[in-house]
Amino acid sequence: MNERLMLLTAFICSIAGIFVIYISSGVIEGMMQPADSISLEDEGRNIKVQGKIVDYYEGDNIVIMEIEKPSVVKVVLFKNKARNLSIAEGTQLEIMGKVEEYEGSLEVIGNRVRVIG
Amino acid sequence: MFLELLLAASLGIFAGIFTGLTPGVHINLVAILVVSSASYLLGIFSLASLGVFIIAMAITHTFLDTIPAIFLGAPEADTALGVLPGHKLLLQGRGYEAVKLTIVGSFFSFLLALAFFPLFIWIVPRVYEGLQKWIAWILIVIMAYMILGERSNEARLYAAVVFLLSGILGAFVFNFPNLNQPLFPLLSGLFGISMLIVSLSDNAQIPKQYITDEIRLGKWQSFKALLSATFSGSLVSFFPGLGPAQAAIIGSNTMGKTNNYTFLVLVGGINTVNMLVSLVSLYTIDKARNGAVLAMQQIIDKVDFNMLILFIGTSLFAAGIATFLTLYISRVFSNVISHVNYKVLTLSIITFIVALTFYFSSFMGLLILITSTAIGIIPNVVNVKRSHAMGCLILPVILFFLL
Repeated sequence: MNERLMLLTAFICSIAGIFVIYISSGVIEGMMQPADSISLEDEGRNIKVQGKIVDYYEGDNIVIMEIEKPSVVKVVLFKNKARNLSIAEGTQLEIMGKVEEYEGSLEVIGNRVRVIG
Repeated sequence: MFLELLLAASLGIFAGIFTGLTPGVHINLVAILVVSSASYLLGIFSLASLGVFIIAMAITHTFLDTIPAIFLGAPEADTALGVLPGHKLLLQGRGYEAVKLTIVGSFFSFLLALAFFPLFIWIVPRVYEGLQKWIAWILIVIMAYMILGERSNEARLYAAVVFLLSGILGAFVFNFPNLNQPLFPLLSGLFGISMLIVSLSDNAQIPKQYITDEIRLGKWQSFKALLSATFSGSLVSFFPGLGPAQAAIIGSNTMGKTNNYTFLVLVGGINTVNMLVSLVSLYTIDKARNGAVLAMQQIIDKVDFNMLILFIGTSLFAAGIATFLTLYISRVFSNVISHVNYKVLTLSIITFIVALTFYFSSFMGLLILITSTAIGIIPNVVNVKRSHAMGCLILPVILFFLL
């Protein structure tokens, strides 16, 4: 075997990798767009929600928030995922999480959260 | 988004160069740093970018970590068995060739594992539960086969002693509380310093290093090595407690007759395959099988099909670039190392390893280093294979599954 042949294959691999990253970036970017609303079809999917807190309940280990975006979405956040996060009405948040059904209504179980305004 | 991902992959490759070339600095260290600062980093980068960074770093690391193992005798778990054949070639002026063989292993096993990816995705959830209870017995059979494969009863007895001594030391080290970087003194002693001391006592010299374009490998032998690396590297990535070190033992025994060349191809391939295929475990059974993937899991939570494709693309990109980088850096090492006095270099490396051990693990680390070095010298004195000292990682795993 020749080193040049290996390097040529490696070069083709890098280009193929860039191409796959390029294609994937389009798909992932689409998934990362904030959802306008959630429906039954979204159940089990990871989505991004951006909006303003209009109401919330804070327990020992859990925060349940209603986020307006402009339709209202219920977000459940375990406190270990929201350390150092100050919750207040009117705070703009970005939440990534999974859509789940609980007692007949859909909610987002937050995995990552950050304040955006 | 595309440029952000490409930037993350490039930064990951740079991080992989750093962790791969620096003895004692593992990718897990950087991965933990990324996890602990994730809430800050996510304000700048997307989740996908952090995952891409970790994957690119991990793949690059598996290509470059053979350089310190071969040129400096400072191995990690996944390169420990490659130290001796690599150093032998270095002392024949073929250190560059030794690294190149590990690159052949890493790169082509990577491509082979990629071709088997759909099969892995199908097979992992189906065999995971069933095979788990047999792991300890598989390892016992392999170790027994290795020990019985020595040339005489006396050699078999010594091999068993080396296996048990290193295994007991390994079990002690892994169960010792609050010990930082336990693998570093353990493996550096068993496979690094012990070999350097033997080379010093033999008055070895590093000759002029030859850099050739040729890769002297038989087609059938190299294919067998690549297939063994793919098989064993992927097998261990599905199960807890197993890693590239155990895969090297499994691979070298399933492959049959090996020489220094094919063995380096095997060792090089295993850790790259192991890293790539651990993505399958994460995707199919939601289990992280190494530190880097665990860190990614903590950030991303669940890897879906689109994310998996992105990570495969990142791995392709990183593997291609790492092939160029490793060969280039190996050329630089080859040019520099032959101008250095071997005795001074060896003593400097030993001092460096001792200092790093003290820095990571204090006096307990030094005690482990001295003990493991003493055990590591035994195979050379009694003329049995040094790979029996892999008992330090195999015996604790056997005990983990049996007890």
